[in-house]
Amino acid sequence: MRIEINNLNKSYKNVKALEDINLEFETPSIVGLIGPNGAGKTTLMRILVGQLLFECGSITVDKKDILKDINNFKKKLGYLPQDYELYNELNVEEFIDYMACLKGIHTNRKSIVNECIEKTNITNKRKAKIKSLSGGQKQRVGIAQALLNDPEILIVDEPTAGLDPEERIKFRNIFSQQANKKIVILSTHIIDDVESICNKIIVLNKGKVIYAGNPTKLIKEAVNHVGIIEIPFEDKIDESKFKIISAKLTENGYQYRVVAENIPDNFEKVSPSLEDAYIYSMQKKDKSVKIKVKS
Amino acid sequence: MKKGILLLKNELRIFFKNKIVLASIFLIILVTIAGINSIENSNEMSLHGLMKSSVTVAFGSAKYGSMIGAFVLSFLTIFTLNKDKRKKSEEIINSCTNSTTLISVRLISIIILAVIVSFVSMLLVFFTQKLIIGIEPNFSVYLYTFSLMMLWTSAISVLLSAGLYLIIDSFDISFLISIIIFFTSISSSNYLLKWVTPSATVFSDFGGFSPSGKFIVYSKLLWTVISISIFIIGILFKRKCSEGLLKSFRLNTKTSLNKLTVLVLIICLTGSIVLYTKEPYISNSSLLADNNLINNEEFALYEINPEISFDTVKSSLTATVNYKFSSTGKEDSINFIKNDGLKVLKIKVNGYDTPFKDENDMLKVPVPKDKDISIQICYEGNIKNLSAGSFAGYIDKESIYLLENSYWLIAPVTTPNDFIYSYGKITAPADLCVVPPGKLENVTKSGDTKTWQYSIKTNSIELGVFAGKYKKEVLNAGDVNVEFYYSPKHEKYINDTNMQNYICDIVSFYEESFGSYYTTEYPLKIVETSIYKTGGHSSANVVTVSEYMFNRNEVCNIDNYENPYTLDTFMHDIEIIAHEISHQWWGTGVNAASECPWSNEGLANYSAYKYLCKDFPEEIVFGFTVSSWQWYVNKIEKGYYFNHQDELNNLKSDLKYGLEMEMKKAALYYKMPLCLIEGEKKLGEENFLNVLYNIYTNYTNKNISFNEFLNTANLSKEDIGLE
Ligand SMILES: Nc1ncnc2c1ncn2[C@@H]1O[C@H](COP(=O)(O)OP(=O)(O)OP(=O)(O)O)[C@@H](O)[C@H]1O
Ligand SMILES: [Mg+2]
Ligand SMILES: [Zn+2]
Repeated sequence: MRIEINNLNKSYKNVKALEDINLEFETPSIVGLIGPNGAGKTTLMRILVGQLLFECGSITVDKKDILKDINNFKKKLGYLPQDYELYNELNVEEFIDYMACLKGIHTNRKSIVNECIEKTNITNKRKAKIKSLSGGQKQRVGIAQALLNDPEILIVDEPTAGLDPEERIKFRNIFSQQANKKIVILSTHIIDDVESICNKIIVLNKGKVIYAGNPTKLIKEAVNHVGIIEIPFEDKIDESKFKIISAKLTENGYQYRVVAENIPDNFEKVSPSLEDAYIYSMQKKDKSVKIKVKS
Repeated sequence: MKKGILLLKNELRIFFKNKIVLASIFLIILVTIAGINSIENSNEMSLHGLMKSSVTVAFGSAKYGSMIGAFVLSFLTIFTLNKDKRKKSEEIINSCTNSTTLISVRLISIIILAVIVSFVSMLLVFFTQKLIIGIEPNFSVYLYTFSLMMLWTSAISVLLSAGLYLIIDSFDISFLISIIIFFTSISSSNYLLKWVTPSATVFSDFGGFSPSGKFIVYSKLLWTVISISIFIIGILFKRKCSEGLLKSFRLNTKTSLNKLTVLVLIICLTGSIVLYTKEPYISNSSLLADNNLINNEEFALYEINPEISFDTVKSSLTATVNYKFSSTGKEDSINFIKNDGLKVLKIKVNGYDTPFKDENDMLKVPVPKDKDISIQICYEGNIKNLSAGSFAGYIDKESIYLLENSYWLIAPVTTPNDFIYSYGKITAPADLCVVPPGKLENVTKSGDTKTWQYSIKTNSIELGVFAGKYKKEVLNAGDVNVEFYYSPKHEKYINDTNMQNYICDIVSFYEESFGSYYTTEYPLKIVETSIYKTGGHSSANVVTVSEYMFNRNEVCNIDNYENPYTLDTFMHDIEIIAHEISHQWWGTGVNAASECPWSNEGLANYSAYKYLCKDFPEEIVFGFTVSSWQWYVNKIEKGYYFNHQDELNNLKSDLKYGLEMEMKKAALYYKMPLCLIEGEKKLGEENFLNVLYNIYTNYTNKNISFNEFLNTANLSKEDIGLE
């Protein structure tokens, strides 16, 4: 499958949510969508699943307009929105089975349902009512329903938000196991997740794509732009010149980790993490890029 | 298709896991069962204590079922369609399937639920009747009543509220509007709006379902197309991609609008307009309700000879009627009034075809300025009524009921001669017993029809025809020959209450009090008719009585009554019968030419009261008649407009008409008998009855004015409490 987004624009009443988005996705890939709150991640995903209109630009799936053939596209789609509820009165198995029917799965439904329940590790909760589940367990059910039709494209909006570290790791693994024959697009605020499983990342800020491509390349761009310095209590760091990533308390003062266009010589230069690189990319304003995301 | 069934099964499965759905089912069934006795326990005298049968039990519960079904299923529909929005599961669900398909599947599930609930309620009521009430139920009556009333109403309610929800996209507002539509329907008097409850109070045991059932079917048909239209419009306005009403509409027309949907929408929209405007049963004639037509005095009708043939399958009649007039030669046209369901085919004047002007309810026939005029009118069609609640006429397989004021017989608006002769032939299916006015001359059978020939000499053209599957019993009330026609279904009650004795007793009482029956040539015919017209009627020598008076649950023993309500009901029935029979003396025998309050109605109420006093406990009769008349008259006379009649003209015309009718009714029916009782007090009972006796004997077959009455009785208006 190949999805092309060209010159996509979307604005709400007076907010420009997406501006001149140009992206390409191709099977197989696992794409991390990152960006600050309100960057437009959810908006982009909802447009991609055909639940939101856009003003201009186009989206094609295998060269066909996505809106023209939305019902066919839905058959290949697995989607988990950011903010959702499930049918509380049902138990896990009933709900997954209900969703399987909605997706029109008639042959082998039972075994497909079981498979998804196993894949997402909720076998021990299969008879539990949805309303009795914890946040993480509910997320699993959400993922399970998205995987039912063995989708060619899996779109998940902040699937790891609110999960404990152990649970998060389990989730990441679920996605990476899926990725070999699919396009997986996931949005997150946790750079760690992206770093560990995504082969592509897209950085969105204020509705614009500021980076799209390989994570290592993004890190490379930040080399020489990350530094550490220790400053005694009586002194102060000039916050207008640096973006402070962290401030760690030491015996004599604070040890700051900063990102800046120019790192002064009194700073110790360190190799950037993906998070540093992400913050660094945020600093560079108005740098809309068109970069292909390919494997 | 396979996917549709899968979705449906799926939806139904989770449907029955929902507590609200289960509670709704329970509620609907409970309320439906609570309606089992609603017909007999009604306050309406025609229904109160009516004999329990499949009809009353099924009708009462199906009526309750239709109300609760419409209401609860409307809620459930909106609740279900709103579910994903409310639960924030909309995005997940929409990513899996086409939302129109899902909505359709969900509605079908609710309709399946409606079918199940109606069927289960029906069975529960059926077995309650069989096992607890102990009356053998009739399954086809149940099936007809429940599917026509409860199920159909529920289905309309589902589509209607679904459409409203999809258009409005708000749970509260769409449910509120549904409730408004629901209550408008229940309280409306226009049967076309009555898709929730039927316009009839009960189906007739005597006359079958169709005279009233056709109204129910028609209004449901209308609302079915309306609700389908609203639903399709709803689908077109269904919100999409978080957009508003108009943008969603544009989007929907682009994507999901196919030719079939447009076609169905167009058919349903035009269907609703056509069904509404071309409504076939209700008369929009103002003349039929008008009893103050001014007769043309240049012509006098002296003979009217109809040949009528009824087609009970089509509910229609074909007629050829010959009229003979004497004319002063001054005018050149005669107006006829007719039912607007009838269509004139041909008119001959003095043997020649004549062009005519047929204006719906009025027919203008040009005539030469000769002394003698004969007119022949051929017409056909069916009978329209002023409302769906009370009939002036219908033609049906089970029975035929044609009062003169339905104008089934096209009537000239001319002065009647002193006497009018009428010879007629009435052809009807052979299984019906026809009761014509006057004397039955001959009955001939040909194939599966019978022709009934009658003759009558009368002082008005008020002729009715009645037919049914009657049993005929001949009674002798002194010198009067009484023919009693009733349904064999009610024979037991009639025998148990000794209704024949009451009838003879009433007739003898009037003969003793007022004088001999006005004719020895014809029998007095007493005819049972359906409940679709309550009360009774009297014209020529025929008195009709609505079936419920011969079909009560309990037989009342007046010497030893246990239940005061039974006595009340029975007295009410006897009073109506006595009132209608007394019109044979006051109305047909002597005509109290109406000068408000002087009227046949006043005399009839007085006569019935005198009769009741003879046979029933006097204090109960008094409470039933005199004190209730007083109460009613007081209420009217205390009214604002009664005391400020000049201000009536400031009111809207239908309001004014209603108030005037109310006042007139109070004067004719209640004030007048009170005046007569005053006169009786003044002169003493014996003297007063003597006066009435003299008047009746001297004025037989004539009109008597108020003044003539007062002079004969030697009473002034003040004496009887007027002015
Ligand atoms: N329905 C809406 N109406 C108006 N503005 C909206 C709507 N939804 C989103 N926005 C605006 O569009 C912008 C992008 O929102 P979006 O939800 O796509 O951000 P996001 O990247 O998903 O943020 P988060 O990380 O907080 O989920 C924001 O400025 C937001 O305020
Ligand atoms: Mg978001
Ligand atoms: Zn009367």
